Amino acid sequence: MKRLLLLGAFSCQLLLVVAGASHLTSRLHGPVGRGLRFYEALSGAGDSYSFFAPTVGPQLRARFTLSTPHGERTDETLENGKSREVGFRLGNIAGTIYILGERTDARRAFLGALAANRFGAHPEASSVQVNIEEWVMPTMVAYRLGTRPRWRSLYDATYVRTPISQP
Amino acid sequence: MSSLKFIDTCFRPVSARPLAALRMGLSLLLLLHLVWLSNDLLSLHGSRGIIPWELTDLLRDPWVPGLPTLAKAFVPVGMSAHTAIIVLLSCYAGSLLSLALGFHARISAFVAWGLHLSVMTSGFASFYGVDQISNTFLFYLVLFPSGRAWAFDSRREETIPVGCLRVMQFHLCVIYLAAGLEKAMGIQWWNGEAIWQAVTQPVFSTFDLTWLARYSWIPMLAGWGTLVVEIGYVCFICPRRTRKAWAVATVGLHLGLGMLMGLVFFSSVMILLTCSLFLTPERVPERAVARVGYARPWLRSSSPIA
Repeated sequence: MKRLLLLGAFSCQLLLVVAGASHLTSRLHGPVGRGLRFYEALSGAGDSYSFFAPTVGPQLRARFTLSTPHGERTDETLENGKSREVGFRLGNIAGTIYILGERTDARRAFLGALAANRFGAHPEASSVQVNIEEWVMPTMVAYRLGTRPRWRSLYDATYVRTPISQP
Repeated sequence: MSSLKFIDTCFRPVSARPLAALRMGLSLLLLLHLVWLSNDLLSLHGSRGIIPWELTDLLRDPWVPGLPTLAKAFVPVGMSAHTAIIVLLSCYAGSLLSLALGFHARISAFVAWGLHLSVMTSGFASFYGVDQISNTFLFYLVLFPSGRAWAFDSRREETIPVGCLRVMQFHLCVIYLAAGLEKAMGIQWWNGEAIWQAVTQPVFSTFDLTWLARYSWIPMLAGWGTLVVEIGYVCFICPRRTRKAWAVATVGLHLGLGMLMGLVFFSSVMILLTCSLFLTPERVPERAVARVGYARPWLRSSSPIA
């Protein structure tokens, strides 16, 4: 009996793995859907595996233009001076902000958080312009004909440091 | 009768070494990865990190506790959130080390899985595929008896039911098949543009490969090769005759990804999964003790059945 139950549990897990990989469970709503998603989050059974599929999307990054009261301007990205593995993860933050595209309030909050982080790292900066950019790589044919890759701005917002009044 | 035979077959004892290899390899890789990220862990996950906890809460699954939720549990004992995060990340490192050594393997796996899931949940904005795959296989290490071989607290090597191994092998095959089929649906993987776009992105670029534009047949063949290896994985990794050849092809694919795109951690985890689950012999070693009530004649003569 114990073996039968274990076999049933294994079979259910594998069914969920197949359903998750086929994007079927994400279509389920209501309490069953929520319950399944909770189990999937714990076990990874519902993950889909669309690594670079069906197409390779453009790289996204957050670029900051910092300005000081003396008019000095510097450009930097979150990935500056970081290891490659950290770079992948920081790059994903820009991707998350892009995904939030339609949720304007959440996107503003994320951009504000990035600006606040840069203000913290650069106490001398009086303003920060945050740019979410995508890497536009031409096709092989276009590259052969002379088109070159470039960064294209998707969103930008400027934040200005306001002096905090002393009590 | 035949269904009973099928059930019996699913619980046939096999060597615990494949599972032990996965346990040791995965925990050591995750530990190395943690060390690799150590300078930036608090930026990614801390209370004063790049993305404030209030914002990560907007994105994460409300039912799965992230690091902030766990950290807040330490507040009543007078510990600040910042210190609690350091304690939790240290516990995570400790559990991974303990799992690698096989010290109370199941408890260590449970702690490591729980904390890995929390790290992944709170780092939602910055996580990627390899974190999901690690979570999946840590979950299996909680469920399955991974401490029966090459473990600190296991004096005698024991067996595991073959079903444990087959579930993980099946899952790995689904991962490759789904990844391959989804790629095959995009024209980029057939005309070589996918490889071109991937290796020329600044984040992945390890060498200047823009010369590939002049030899477009190279990325095209590489794209086809990727599809063949991934879609063919399920068909060719299971039969013993083709297993080694396909494992070599798969390892080659991931070595390529590691070298040309810098996906070292992802590639290492994928290589480990194929090597531990398919290349580690599952034949029961002579001195192993069978822990499942199944007796093959050849097993009866060499080892006691528990």
